Amino acid sequence: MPLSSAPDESARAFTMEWISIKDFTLPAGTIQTTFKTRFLSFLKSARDAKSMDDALKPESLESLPPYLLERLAPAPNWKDEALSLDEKLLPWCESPGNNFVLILNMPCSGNAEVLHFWASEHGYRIIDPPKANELLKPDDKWFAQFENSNPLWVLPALEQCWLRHEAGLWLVRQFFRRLLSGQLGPGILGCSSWAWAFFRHALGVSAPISLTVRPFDAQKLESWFRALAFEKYRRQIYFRQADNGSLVLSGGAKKDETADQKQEQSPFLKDLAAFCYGIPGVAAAYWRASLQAEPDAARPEKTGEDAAPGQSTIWVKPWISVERPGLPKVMKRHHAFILHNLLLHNALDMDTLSKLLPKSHHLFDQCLYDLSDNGLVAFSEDQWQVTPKGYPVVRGFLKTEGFLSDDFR
Amino acid sequence: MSQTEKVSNVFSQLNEVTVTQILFILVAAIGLIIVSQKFFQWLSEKLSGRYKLYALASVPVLRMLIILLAVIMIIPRVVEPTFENLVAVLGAVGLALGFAFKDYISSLIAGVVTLYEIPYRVGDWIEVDGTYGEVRSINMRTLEIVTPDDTVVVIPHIKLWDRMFFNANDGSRNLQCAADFYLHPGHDGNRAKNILMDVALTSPFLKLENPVKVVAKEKIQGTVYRIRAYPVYPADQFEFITDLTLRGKSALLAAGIEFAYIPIQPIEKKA
Repeated sequence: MPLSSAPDESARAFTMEWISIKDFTLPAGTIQTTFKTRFLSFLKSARDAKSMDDALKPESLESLPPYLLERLAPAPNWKDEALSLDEKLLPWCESPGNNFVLILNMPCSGNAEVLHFWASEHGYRIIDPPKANELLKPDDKWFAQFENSNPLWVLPALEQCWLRHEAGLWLVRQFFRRLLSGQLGPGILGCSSWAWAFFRHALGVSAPISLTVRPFDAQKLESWFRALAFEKYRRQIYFRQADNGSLVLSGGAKKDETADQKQEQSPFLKDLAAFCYGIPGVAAAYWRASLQAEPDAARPEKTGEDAAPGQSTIWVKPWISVERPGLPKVMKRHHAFILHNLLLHNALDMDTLSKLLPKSHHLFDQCLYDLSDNGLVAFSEDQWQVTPKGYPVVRGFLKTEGFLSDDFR
Repeated sequence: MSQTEKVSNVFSQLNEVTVTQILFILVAAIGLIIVSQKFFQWLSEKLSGRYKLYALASVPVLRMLIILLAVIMIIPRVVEPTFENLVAVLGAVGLALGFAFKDYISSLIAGVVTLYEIPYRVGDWIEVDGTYGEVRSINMRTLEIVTPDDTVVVIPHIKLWDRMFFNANDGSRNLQCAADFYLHPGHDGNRAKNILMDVALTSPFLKLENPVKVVAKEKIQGTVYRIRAYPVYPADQFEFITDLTLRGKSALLAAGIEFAYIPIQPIEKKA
């Protein structure tokens, strides 16, 4: 049965909207900012001096204190979006016409988490990835999980089921052989967009049906940030751009169209959406980093549930002044190899990562710490991963250097 | 009119102003060449990928344009700009130079030819007369390549007329590399091929968009397998081949596939 494309009333309540890969288009930024951003980043790399970010930064403002940040811009809770997949997937689940549906996950998009929660909600069998040390041995014990997985299985992160190592392709080759021949039964396959690009080129696989989240454009970001900000907070707050006072987000939980029309609108969210490739996790990280308040307002006077900022305006840094991670001053091949491998596998522990690289361990450590110092990668839960704020920079770099990137253009 | 007067009429009266102008043009041209060379080199360090190659490739073209402009500006200051005068002077100069600096001029002309035929660009990996290296700079008379041993080799453009130039990447970033494996004939060929294919696909140096091939050929020593693949960075070709060779070797040995070797027969001493 084909996937349903008719909009469902219940699905409209979700922030995430699932679309076919064919319908994917990246949000566009404003021409002025795109040019200005590129020119500034060029100047920054060329002069290696203080960037214009500092010149534009209003000195009188301070970052939001953590309690206020958590209230006004909490980290995304992907669990709330789990049922957004119902509209597209439930009709297919009732009568699966193909072996599998592919859910393509851009890094930091939260898609894998949403798929995981969705499978839990509906009680489908979730397939755990093998441990890293099991990936280099040809052993088909892992496939036992697929047995008795009626009516279907869900594998949220295929990128964790292989390694870019001469012995690390065996399992994923076996997986695709069994999947395409129908031996595994119907299932829903989540895969990182970078790993999928590799599989497409190296193994020649393709998916009959592939879905991803519609990229968040300025409008979507506005409604999402509004929902996050006013979920716990009922006061009237204005989010204004710090350098000119133009409106970024206004009012309370609902948008006041007539009031907003009278005020100058900031292009911040449009530029944010374009820079972040419409990826919600990346946009949220930059949003949190761009919020500021006046010193008095930022000081926590109350810490209870009803605590409020001293005044009703939160200042948003102009997009051009928002700090972005930079590339290390001296980029070696090793930096690129580390970044590419991290994106291909989403996250890797130190030992496994070292097995996928060609050079000495000493150089590898140094490069990894360089990248970490620049905020491009971070160590969390025993694994290295590209940071949400670092992803757009890393993607741009790898693409320019000629590495295989994902198919989202 | 005497012969001397005729010749002197061809040339303009060189006064202090004209000489100063000519000197100024020469100094400005040389200055511009140096500045443009430094600027594009600096720019190429800031850029990456194909933009780096474009920046480097524009250096010789710009230099040629500056020189041409300088010559166009100097000639009317030296020669009375009539058609006859120009033909006479350029013909005489050409004849004299043609004899005295035949090879030099030939190299210069070949240098001009390279600007529109573009048989090599800065950043290309070329082989001329058995010397292989990366083109570092293209000058008016010569090109400089740097060999993998970090030796600079200066090659006059004149070689373009009668030598074969092998260009491994021809202005692109696609440079094919090959790694050979000599295996004992008694093995499963398909298995060996699949192992080598995975070795290539999993090399971090590999440019994945380009095709990867593993070809086999039977030889006296055994079966020769060759991986043909492209690295992301052409300059990494030797590291790439090393990576393929070492990982290929260990993967084949782990799979129990033996390498071919020529047994050395001990020489029997005559009694």
